[in-house]
Amino acid sequence: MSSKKALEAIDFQKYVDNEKENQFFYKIGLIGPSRVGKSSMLASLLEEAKTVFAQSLVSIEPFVDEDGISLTKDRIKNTINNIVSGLDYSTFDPGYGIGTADPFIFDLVIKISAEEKQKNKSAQLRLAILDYPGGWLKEPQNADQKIWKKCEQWIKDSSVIIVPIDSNLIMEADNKEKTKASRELLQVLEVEKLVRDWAKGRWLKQESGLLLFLPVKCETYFDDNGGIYNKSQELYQRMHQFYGDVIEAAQQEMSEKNEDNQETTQDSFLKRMVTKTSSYTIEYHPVDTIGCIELANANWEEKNGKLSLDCQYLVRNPSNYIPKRKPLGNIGVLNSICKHMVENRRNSGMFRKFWDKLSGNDKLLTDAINRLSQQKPGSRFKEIAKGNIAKRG
Amino acid sequence: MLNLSIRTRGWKTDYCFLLEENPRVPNFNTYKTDIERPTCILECTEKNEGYLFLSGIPSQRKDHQGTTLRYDLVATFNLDPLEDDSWDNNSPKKQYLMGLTNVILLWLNDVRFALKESLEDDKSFEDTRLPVATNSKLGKLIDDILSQQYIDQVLQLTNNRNWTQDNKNKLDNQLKEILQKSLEVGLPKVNLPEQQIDLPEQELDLPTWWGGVNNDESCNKWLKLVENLILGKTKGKALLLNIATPSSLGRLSVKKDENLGVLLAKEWSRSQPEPIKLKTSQKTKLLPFTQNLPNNVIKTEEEVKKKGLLQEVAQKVIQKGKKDINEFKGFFRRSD
Repeated sequence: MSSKKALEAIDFQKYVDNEKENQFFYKIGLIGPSRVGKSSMLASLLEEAKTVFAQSLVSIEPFVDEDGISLTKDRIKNTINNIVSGLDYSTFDPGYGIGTADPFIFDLVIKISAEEKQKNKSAQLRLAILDYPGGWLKEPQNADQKIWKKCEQWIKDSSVIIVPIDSNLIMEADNKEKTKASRELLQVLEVEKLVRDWAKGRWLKQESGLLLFLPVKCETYFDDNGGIYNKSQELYQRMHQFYGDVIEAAQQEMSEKNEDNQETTQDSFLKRMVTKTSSYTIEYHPVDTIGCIELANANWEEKNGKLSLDCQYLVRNPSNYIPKRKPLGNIGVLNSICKHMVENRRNSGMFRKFWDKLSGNDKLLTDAINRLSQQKPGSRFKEIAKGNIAKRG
Repeated sequence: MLNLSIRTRGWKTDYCFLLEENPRVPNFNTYKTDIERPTCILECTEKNEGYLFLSGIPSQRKDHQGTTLRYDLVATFNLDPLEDDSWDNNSPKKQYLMGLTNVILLWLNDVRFALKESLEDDKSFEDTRLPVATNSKLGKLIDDILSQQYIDQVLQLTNNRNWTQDNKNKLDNQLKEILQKSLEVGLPKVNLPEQQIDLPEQELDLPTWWGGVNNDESCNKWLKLVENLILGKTKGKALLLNIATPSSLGRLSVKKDENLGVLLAKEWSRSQPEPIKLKTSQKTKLLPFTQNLPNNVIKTEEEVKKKGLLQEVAQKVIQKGKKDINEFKGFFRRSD
């Protein structure tokens, strides 16, 4: 019998970089409250990737272990099943999700197709995305402290941080009271603390960082994916109102003082390539998680003196058939992550070594990542801030 | 001694164990299962310690977003290796342990009902991960004893870390009431056959086996193992894993004289009991061989293996004709 420990659903030890075994994990942290839609967002990323990568050699898939088992694949499949269960021909019931009670690592692989592998040396790049119960943000005392510390460490070690945001909560808060409730539900203060810790970690390590704000469930606020209204500008403004302090906290910890923020992206890139300076980027990627639904009613309900938002959704163009899901906006996230890898491959010691090996072993894959990094972001994307990480001392 | 812990979520409060830190359990993360779906991990050790983790018990309660909530139950208990005759059936301990067995039985029935329903929905086995039951008898039993209002109160106390011993005692009593009441709940007749199936002697003695969760023979064999484990009649593990495959079970570590019975889902749901082919992983962590070894001579491969050496090493040893086991210090043995 192994020694007793806290109930630990995942083995963090499996996700330690190992240079000898040429094993590298590009760590990504999710910082979002409970029930915001983190798992659904990742499921929609994989679904959209299938469409985008059709007729190409590159794919992004759940990692499959030596026994042919993929916990990630199963979790994603369950999430999609839950979404499908909630969709009937005319309405969508989001209550089929099951919520996260334990940390989970979504283990994804970017690789070249099997046929090409036979012709070429192959390698794979693992993206490891840590999800954990959103409630731990607000009540970390409810987590086992050893496990929570591992999660915090993961977040600090992550090159990329994703902050999922329930867009309904920021758009449907039309007075002071509801805004306050939304901020509490989104746990903005707790998000700010973790983002600040992460940014400080980037500065301490002098390693580049990418911070992505991802409003999810954005179907109702854009007209480029079947929607009627375009409230995209309002969504962006409200995101700034809610998360302005979080953005500022990240910049305070990472940004060079008196920096000329007006330099062009190309100038900044060239400068970094020459000086090997680490950089930070803060971006905005609104996402349609499901794509075929529309917010019909958003009712604020009070229980035990606290407000919560009850949303009812309708399916667009209802028919007798199963509604066709059409997620949008996720590929921009993937492009940004690839761009971050390519731009900063010279700055991070471990990643640099890995990238050099990857380039030697699998040119097709590095070329594919390069191409992904160069794709133009969609019209929804906005760059919030970009700059060099301040030098220590 | 029997300690029960329960994890659930409230109207707004996220999942956590009620009125305690996370309970201490053995290392469960080696099992291939998604513990957010129905999972059963029952381990009983040679030290007479028992652990049960039962997840995916659906509640009728919902959170503020209308999402159905669930319970996870953890039990830790000491086992007395007593013969049946010396047990007083009316003793609280026996009642609780029988209750624990029945809780697992109820839960397995819920899981099988849900599986049956989803199969009637024309879903293929490949698509059928163990679904969460919509009409869970065990879930209803827990809901009846732990009301929504009570759970929200207790979650508040848990969050604030300001519960008293009285709060804790009340919760303990209610959790034990679940065990007692489980003995009164009638089991549905649809799934598990009421009669025991007489399995051939050889199969009954199979120490490590797996079977399908939707196969009556496998389930009966598994439930018998559960009962024997909880009542201290045998040592080992009874597992229900929702992602594992027969092949992956070969990597589970099983000690000598331990029993292991695993129920699997998906395309193996209908399988009868089959032996688990245990294998030595290429990646098994190896530790320096530092144990004191008797200064005797090895004559056969079997003898080397008995000393705890890896099979591969044993073969090499025999091939090289090395006879004195002391020469093998510096070789390796399995970490488990």
